[in-house]
Amino acid sequence: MALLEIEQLSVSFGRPEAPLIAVEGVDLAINEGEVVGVVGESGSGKSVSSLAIMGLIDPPGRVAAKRMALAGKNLLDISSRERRAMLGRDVAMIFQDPMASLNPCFTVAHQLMETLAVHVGGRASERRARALELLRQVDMPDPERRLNAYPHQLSGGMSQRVMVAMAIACNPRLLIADEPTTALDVTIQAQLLDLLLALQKQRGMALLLITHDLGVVAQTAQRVVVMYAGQVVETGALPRIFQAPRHPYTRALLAALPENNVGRQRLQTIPGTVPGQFDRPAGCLLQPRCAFAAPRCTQERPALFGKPDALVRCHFPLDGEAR
Amino acid sequence: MSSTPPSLLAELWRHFSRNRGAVAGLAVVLLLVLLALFPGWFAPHSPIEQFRSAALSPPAWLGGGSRHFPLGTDAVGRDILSRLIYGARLSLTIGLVAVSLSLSMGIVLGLISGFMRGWVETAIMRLMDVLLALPSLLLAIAVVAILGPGLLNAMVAIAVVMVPHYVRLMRASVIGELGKDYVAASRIAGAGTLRLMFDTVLPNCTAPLIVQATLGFSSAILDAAALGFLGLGAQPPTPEWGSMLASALEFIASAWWVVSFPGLAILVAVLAFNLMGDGLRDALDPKLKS
Amino acid sequence: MNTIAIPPLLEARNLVKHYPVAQGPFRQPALARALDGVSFELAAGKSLAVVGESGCGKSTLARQVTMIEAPSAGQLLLLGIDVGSATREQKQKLRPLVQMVFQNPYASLNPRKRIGAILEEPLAINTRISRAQRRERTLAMMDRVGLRPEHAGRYPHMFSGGQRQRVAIARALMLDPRLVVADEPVSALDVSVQAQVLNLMMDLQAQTGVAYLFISHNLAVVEHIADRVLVMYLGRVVESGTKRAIFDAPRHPYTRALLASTPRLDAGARRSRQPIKGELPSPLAPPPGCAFHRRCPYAVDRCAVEAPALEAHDGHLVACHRVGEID
Repeated sequence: MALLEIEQLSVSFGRPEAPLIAVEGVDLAINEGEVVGVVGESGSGKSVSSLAIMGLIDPPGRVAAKRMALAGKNLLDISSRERRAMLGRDVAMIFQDPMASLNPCFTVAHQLMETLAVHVGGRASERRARALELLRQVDMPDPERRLNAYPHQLSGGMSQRVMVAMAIACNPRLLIADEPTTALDVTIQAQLLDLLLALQKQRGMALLLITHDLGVVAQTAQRVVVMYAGQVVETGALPRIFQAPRHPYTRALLAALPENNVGRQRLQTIPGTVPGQFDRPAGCLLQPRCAFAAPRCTQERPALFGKPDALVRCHFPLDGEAR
Repeated sequence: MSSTPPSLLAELWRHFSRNRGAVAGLAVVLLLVLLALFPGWFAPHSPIEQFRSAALSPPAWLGGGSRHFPLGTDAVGRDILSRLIYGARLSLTIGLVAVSLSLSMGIVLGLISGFMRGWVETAIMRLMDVLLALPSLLLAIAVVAILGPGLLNAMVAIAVVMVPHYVRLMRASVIGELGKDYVAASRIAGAGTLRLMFDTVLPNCTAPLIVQATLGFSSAILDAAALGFLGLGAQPPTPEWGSMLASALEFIASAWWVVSFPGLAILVAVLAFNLMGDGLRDALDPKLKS
Repeated sequence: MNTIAIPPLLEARNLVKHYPVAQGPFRQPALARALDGVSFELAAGKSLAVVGESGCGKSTLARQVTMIEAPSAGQLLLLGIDVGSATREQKQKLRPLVQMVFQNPYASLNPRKRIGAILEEPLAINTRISRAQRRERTLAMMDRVGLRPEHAGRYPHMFSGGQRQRVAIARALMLDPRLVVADEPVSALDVSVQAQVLNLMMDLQAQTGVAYLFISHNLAVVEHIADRVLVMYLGRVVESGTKRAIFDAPRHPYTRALLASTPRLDAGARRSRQPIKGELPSPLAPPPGCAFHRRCPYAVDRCAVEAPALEAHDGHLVACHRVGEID
């Protein structure tokens, strides 16, 4: 049984007559202790999906799903209050900009202790000791001093460590990290990714890593979900999926990376742009930009098919297994 | 990118029209503008013609009133409705002149202090602090006392009182915008200080100014009314709403209509401008953020 | 052979820029040493990449090269002319030669101006050509960067990040500069858009012969676009050399750490990494001696005391006491 099971998640914004479809029919399953990477570009819906899972999409956004279950318990049946309690305890999330995620008016200690008070309880002195312990676990340099610091006194890397500490404070079973290292310098990014992986291994915590950086995913994840224009277009295990991608988009994305263009004057590019609100194709969403498009792709939207670990949404997948 | 992107004005209208109060305010303001532009079409009589035989006659729907004078007449027999309609032109003019004067002064001083910083900025801002520290009405009275009573001087006085608000707003906006990349880009392209001030930065600082200006209109009308009430603004027989109030106070018990209708006119105008200003602020804000 | 020394397009000699930082009314202001003695050369038509993390001084360097700010010490020479001691007329002539593309495509275009006006502005300021001619040049440039003529009447907020960056590049090229400072021009863009914009920049370089000072923290992008690389740490150059020299055989421990920290798809290409600990130091309180010594896995006592000078070694310039000893 998977830890988190999502079936047919859809999120749309705007007026119902002319909706902006951010996420369309997304299936996602994460097992205990697994590291899954979700990659995609702007408009792929990767961040919105994670916000929808956490219940963070406010009206007028509309969230719908056939099934959303955490450790077998269906999240759609229970009241929103119960759902919040479950999610807050078992699923934690960290975001891209640590400076914006921490409250600038309160010290680090206050914010950590507040998280502990809500979910774990205990006297103030116990919580403070626990907060110090958490800062040690996230390799914060000089943790005693940092406890009393305000967010503006911390660097980006340190702020992100505080976010990770707050996230793991309640021993979640799943940590969702939405572009956690994008705003950080390269060496600090490496430190933070090492930290996330170490914590994940120590605690048997599942990690859902959302990023646009294929290199980061290649180094940290076990399984990858590739999203395009709100849909899942391919899933697969690493390293196979990047060595032998089956969906034209995955392949084009890999081909556009500078490191796959060594020796070439020009980088290989994907012509065109992601469909916007008003030009969403009736057939395959990639078809206007796909080098392999055929008439069928214009008319019929492909469904996701294949083995559970290697799904692909394409009428003519690149390994020849045409549907 | 969508195929037919709406123009900025269309977007603005879409946000603005969601706020019913704001639209109502706009409608009333437009009505006032119409009255101000073509008072002759609407007013049954001249505002200064005295009908001595019908002095202090009540509004048409009360006993003793007539349809000739729908809202009654004042102590010397002038038709109140006509005076109110011609007074709209005055009030709007006061608002327009006072706001224009203070806005232009405020923009220039705000730009200078935002760009120059240093002692120039300090000097300007401390001067503004002094102006703000004085109660606005007293300050206006002081200015009029120096310049002499009269409508034009009253408008200058009101303008002086409002300048500090615009200077502070403008300076804050300028300082915020100066750090942005597009300003650096213009600098690198060789733009001089004047071009940077008026062509690059100023258009991006207009939103809070527009809102403040709309609210300033209503404030100007009120201040002019207060000055008129004190006899320092419009002089008789000018049909300015505040002076109409002042000259009619003694009749508040015996002929309530002489006092109430000018007061109501002031209320409605001020309310309309405030509602419109609020609506503008809400409409401009989310657009700026996006 | 009779050679006439032609000065390089851009030359920096010991460039220093310190910013005073107020510490309250009762203390002396502290000094943020943003640039602490930077020297390099850039030849016409070439691309020099400046690589480094927060606080290394790359943004300050951009502001120096585009003449927005004057150096505290040292010299910056553009076509042989010392920018710091240039007259006003000289500066006016030099200005159009150096233009800039900024990192954030959402903040670098004036939100209240249409694209056409944004592109015409440099021409309006610096040339006396007629309005019709300005229009013509604008449309020609838009075509070159892949924008359609009708885009000239639209506002920036109607465009995507990639399109805005094209506008920014077009604007930088309007005056036909000899040098474009590109400050992280593709960092805020998606991978596929990044590829398009990088191709555009390289095509334009081939067509116009413009030189790039390319600031980036993304080493994969740098490896693609640069001819030479300058690695900076806390306001100083720690290593400089040709692209191949830096990427194939990095000599400075910081360069190695940067390369090893860069996530790579191909597991085989990943360099083994001694994880470097610690945070980037603040320019207000630089460590004594070598700025990197507190995080360096190879540091010895000498590193904490004496700042190393840039020395030639194997075709690179490296600032490290132990450069010959580390493998």
